[in-house]
Amino acid sequence: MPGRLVLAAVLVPFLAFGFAASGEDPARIEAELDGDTLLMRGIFEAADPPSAELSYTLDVRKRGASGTSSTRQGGVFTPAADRADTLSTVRLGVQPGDTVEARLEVIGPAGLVAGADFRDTIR
Amino acid sequence: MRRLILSLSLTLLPVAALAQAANPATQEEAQIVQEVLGATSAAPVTPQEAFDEIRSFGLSEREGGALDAFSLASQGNLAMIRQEGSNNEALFDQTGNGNLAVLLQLGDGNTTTAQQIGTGNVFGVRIAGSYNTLDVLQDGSDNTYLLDYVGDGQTLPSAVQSGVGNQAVQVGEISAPFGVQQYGDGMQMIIRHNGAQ
Repeated sequence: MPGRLVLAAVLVPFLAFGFAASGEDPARIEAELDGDTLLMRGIFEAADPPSAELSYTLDVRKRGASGTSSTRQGGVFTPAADRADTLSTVRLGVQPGDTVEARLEVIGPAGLVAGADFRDTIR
Repeated sequence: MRRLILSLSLTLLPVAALAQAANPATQEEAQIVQEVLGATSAAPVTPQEAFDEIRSFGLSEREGGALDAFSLASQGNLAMIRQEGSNNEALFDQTGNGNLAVLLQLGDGNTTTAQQIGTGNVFGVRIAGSYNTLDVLQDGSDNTYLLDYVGDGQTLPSAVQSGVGNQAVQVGEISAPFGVQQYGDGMQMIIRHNGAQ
């Protein structure tokens, strides 16, 4: 059965839009460890998202014995209320001791809307 | 017994100049089709064919499942990286929607960078060997780059594609350097070895 890593999502203060105070971070990084594969997803979900096209970047970096892997993926999307948008997916081959870091940023017309960070070491 | 069929078709200047006058969107065309015991074809590699080629890189069941579940047109970026060995380095940079990048570097000390900008791009690459270097840049939309390389110590020619509809495809178990620099529209370079050396 796939194991799940504990996620570390850090909310960046809302700058440009007045989200509903749902208490949940609109941007998050989900990570799922399945054997020797780490699946990472950048997700945006908000109760009252801005009615504007947003852009995103997902940076993932892995360091370990096999070397270094880095990806930077970006794009645009239009959010909808209470809909979880999977913005980008990264699948990494990992082994114990590898360190994985990731940063998700969601950007609107006026600047940074939300962000999340992830860091963990594969055991 | 293997039989090699090589079909080489090059359309370059000054023929290209005449073609350009007739069709401004086509500045130059170069096609190399190399297959073993198969019909030569100049048909572009479809996304499904590109996925099939990538699947033949030796994807694991999970990786193959991710490939099967991914749709270039509707889902957005996907990057799969699996590096086996030591001191390999891979860097992907994808922007836009519908991109796919897959990399398997199997060996030691390989370094690959890939940048895709635009929509609909596909990357590929499996490098089996050690101490190879590869840089790929695709700019525009509908580009495809696949490479299945076996060898050691090569600085592979940089692949730069700019414009729309470009393709550079080399697959199979070969160890020859491969590279492309294409500027313009609708170009393709396809070398399908299918086991030839």
